[in-house]
Amino acid sequence: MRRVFADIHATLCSDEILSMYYKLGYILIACEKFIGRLSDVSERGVSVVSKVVIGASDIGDLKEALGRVEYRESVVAVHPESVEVARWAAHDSRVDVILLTPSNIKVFDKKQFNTMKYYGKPLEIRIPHLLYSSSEVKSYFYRRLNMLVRFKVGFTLGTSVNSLYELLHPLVAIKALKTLYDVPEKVTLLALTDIPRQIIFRKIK
Amino acid sequence: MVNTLLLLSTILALILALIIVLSIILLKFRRLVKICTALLRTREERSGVVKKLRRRYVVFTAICEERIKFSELQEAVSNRFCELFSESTYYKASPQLVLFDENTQRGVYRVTHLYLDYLIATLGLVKSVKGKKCILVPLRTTGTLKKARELTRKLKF
Repeated sequence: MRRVFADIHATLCSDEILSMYYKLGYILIACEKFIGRLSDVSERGVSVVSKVVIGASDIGDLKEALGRVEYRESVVAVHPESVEVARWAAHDSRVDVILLTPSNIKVFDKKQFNTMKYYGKPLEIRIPHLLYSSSEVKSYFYRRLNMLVRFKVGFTLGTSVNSLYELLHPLVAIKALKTLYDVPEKVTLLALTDIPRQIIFRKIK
Repeated sequence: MVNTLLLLSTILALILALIIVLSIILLKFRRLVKICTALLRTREERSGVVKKLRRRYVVFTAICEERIKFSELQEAVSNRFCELFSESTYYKASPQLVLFDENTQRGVYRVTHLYLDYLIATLGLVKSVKGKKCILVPLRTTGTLKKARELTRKLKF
């Protein structure tokens, strides 16, 4: 497997997890919590950047949180809980990605996708939500994903890894999305390579 | 009156002659017509007809807390496959664990070529085998068992 993949969200990064990431073909990882020394990481061939997730239900909260975050060094993801926040996040240049979860799935409509496409803001989807949710949530995700593909809005996939045994091979992610959600392979490949790669590269000094 | 009748009869005769000529062409160049219609058919329609089901062999490795056995792995994969893609797809795909080396924890799965993607997705989504935390990593896909056997020894991970 060629080492071209990037993961936009890992909950925990340890030495063990990072070496497995490298074996699976990942080279760029955005990590929420890191255990170990960063110098060891670069020796291993994997680049790690920090990740911040901001949850906000109104614009005031979002502005306040964005003021505190070091957005030049870490990947900033916004979890919008209302339509206004989602629209605001779409055009704020400090925000890197907008997070889509089962709790805020109804916020994302055609207009939101249009705004995101206009400002070139990608969407972040976490693989465990796609694979281990209830059938009802899966059906919501199916419709949103296919709408995304139709609107040609970019999206990224995060594995949300906590332990070694939660890691997912990129080929498996591509095939799973193809068989379960009818997402074309090329689109998923972009979501695992080019789009997260561009975001993470901006943060590496 | 006579003129119009003559005109009508000539037109009818011409149409009849045209039909006869067309039918002769169709009969004589039946094969050519067949090829043309086949070419006009869309690619999807043509691909819908599968002449022969071919086999694919997926070489994989298991990374687990403890060593796992052949039967345990087979059960875990078949259960996950049915859970994800239903039992009817499982019968059609008929995935079989052909070989599994318990020392190296590497093995080969056989599946029909139409359901290869389903098997690869399933292998990656198996998270535990008989209570032991586990990940299965698909390494390569081949068309022959001989090559798959070679790859289980040669491939590095």
